[in-house]
Amino acid sequence: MAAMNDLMRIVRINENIKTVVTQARRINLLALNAILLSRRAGKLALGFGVISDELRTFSKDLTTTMRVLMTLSYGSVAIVSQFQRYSHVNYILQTTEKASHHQLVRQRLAFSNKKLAELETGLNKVYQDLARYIDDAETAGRFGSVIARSLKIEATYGGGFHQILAQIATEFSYYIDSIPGILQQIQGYLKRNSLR
Amino acid sequence: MKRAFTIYQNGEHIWRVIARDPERPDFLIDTNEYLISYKEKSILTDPGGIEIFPSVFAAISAAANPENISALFASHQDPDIISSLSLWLEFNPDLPCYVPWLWAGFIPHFGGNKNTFIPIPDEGMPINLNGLELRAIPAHYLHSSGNLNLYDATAKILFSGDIGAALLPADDTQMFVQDFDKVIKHAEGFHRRWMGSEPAKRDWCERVSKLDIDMMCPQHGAIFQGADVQRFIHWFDELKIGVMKKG
Ligand SMILES: [Fe+2]
Ligand SMILES: [Fe+2]
Repeated sequence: MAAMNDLMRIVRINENIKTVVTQARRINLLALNAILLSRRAGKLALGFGVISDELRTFSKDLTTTMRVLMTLSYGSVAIVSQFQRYSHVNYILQTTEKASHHQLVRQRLAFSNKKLAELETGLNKVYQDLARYIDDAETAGRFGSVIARSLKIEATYGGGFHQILAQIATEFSYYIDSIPGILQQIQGYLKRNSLR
Repeated sequence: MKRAFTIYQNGEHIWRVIARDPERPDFLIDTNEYLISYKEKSILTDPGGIEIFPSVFAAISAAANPENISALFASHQDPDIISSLSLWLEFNPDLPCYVPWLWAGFIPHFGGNKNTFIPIPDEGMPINLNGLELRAIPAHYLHSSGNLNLYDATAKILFSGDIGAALLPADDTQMFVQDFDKVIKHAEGFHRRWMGSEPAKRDWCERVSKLDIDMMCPQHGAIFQGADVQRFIHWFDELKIGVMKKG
């Protein structure tokens, strides 16, 4: 397999973001479930109810962050594929320049280099934004883990609802625990990203 | 920018159209690309021109993982069909590309090496997409002298390439044909002038009218559905082609 190219790298970032978005959606559904359930459990699971409200806020925030990340990553796929197109032109111009030294070719090459530099600047900005929102998501993820632990503890006080609450708590930690690894992968791709 | 829309889905069997781009500059003819997916693997039909590669690629990435594209399918040799080839190959150098055998020596001018191309014989052939059988069927001289359609018998969808193409006005962004008579007006000039062979057209109409087709998906314009498919075949059969307008 050839060395990973820029387009492949941004595709991997994009796919990872999509995975986290899917997890965020599941967490959202689960949070809704938890709230409904703790309402039914009433006095038996007061603690669970309080935490599941937090859970709901958390998953809303996570969804918002992920939505921004989706938009950013969509934008960067577009920029990198533009970049690819211009690099291609550049390559052809460079080869031509070597063979002909024609002034017009040199001019075109200068123009194309300028275009590439512009795209690179734009992309770096998007990558910085991406890195920042990934940081946000990581912080949110840590907060999520805390909630997950509290949920597990509270579930034990759920009386007759104990079993189902414990199940929700387990499922929630399962989703939340899958997130940090994916986010770290994205950070890794972002760090290695330099267009030339 | 372009966007991907799902036009057919049955479990893991999906057809998506990368539909026309409302922001496209008007000197470029607008194109539809189709991403056929089966159990995670996909074939991209007529990937398009080099100019629109960024917007096609971004639109696909938003909907599916472009790493799962296992092959490209080029119905013929035109630049709006396959001039983006070199950029697709930069993304994935091992990507194979199905082409009509007639153009197997010409399309490499857009990129690729000796392992890139899978030539399809004149009579067409089955194409295996991760266990789903698609069929490349002949549509020669319509308009290109080496030209293929791609038929999915399971989804009952025919990718018809330039056949059925309508050059719709920029503000007409309908994805499916809503008013047959209106759309066909924008298809008539194109079919008369571009399509070159009366016997080839007869033969195509004869064969395709016998296929079970719910959707006929052209590379330009809107998608024909239901009764409009047979209506189109009938219209095309009657149309006098290979003629130039005088004056
Ligand atoms: Fe064509
Ligand atoms: Fe075309």
